Amino acid sequence: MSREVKRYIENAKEILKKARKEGGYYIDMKYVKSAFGCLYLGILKAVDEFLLSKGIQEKNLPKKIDEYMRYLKKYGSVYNGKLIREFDSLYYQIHIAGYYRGFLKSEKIVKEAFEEAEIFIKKLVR
Amino acid sequence: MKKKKNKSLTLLSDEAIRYLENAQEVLSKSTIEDNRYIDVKYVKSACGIAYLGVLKAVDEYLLKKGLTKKELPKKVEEYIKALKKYAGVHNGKLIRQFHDIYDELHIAGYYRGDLHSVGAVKSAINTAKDFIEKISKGKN
Repeated sequence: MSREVKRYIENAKEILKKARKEGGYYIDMKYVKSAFGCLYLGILKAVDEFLLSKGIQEKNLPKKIDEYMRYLKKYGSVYNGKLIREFDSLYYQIHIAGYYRGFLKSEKIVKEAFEEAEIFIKKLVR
Repeated sequence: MKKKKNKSLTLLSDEAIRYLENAQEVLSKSTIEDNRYIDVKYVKSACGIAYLGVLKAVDEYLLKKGLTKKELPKKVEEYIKALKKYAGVHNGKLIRQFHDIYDELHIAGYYRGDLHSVGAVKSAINTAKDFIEKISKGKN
C-alpha cells in the first residue's frame, strides 16, 4: 500500500477519533461523515494506483463512479467480479451512506466499514 | 491546535461553522509552494468537509421551512429540487450558487482533486461560506 493511501486511511481514523460516542453510537456525525469522506478518497486513490500499475496513463484515470466501475470490470477481471461487487458495496456504504447521508452511526458498523475498506485496498495495492 | 473563531462566521449555524472550521484545519496541513497546495489529499478532504457544511446549512434551512428530518433530500438532484421549491421563488441566485458549489467544491475539489492553486481553493471555500451565510439568514 502506498504512503498516500495509508495517509488517507490514517487521516480518516484521526478525524473519526474526534467524534463523541455514547452507548456504542456516534453522536457527532460531522466527524463521522468527514472521516468517511477521507476514507472514500483513500479507496479511489488505491483504485487509481491499481489502474496505473495496469498501464493506464494518469490523464486517463476515471473521473466518475461509472468510469471507475467500467475500468475495474476491464482490469480487475482476474478477481471474477468480486472486486466490482466489493467496490460497488463500498461506494454505497462509505460514500453514500457514510459520507453523503450520514446514515452510519453505530460504532460497530463504522468499524466494520473501515475494516472492509482496508481489506479491499490491501487486495488492490499490496 | 487552538481554534480562532472567524467573526464573520458567527452568524451561521453552529454545525455549519464547525464543518468550515474543520475544513480549514485540514487544509492548513497541506504545504504550499509557489502558491499551490502540494498535498492534494488535504485539499480533497477539506473540500469534502466544506461541502458537508453546505449540505448541513441547506438541511437546517429546509427543517425551518417545515420539512421533517426524514423528508430531507438525499441526493444532489433532490437538494436542487427542494431549493427550487422552498427558496427559488425569491432567489434563483442561491440555486445557481448551489450548482456552482456542487461542481467546484464537490466534483472538482473533493472527487477529482482538480483544485490546486491557493486562490482557487480559497475561492471555492469562500463561496461555500457565502452561500451558508445567505441561507442561514434566509431561515429567519
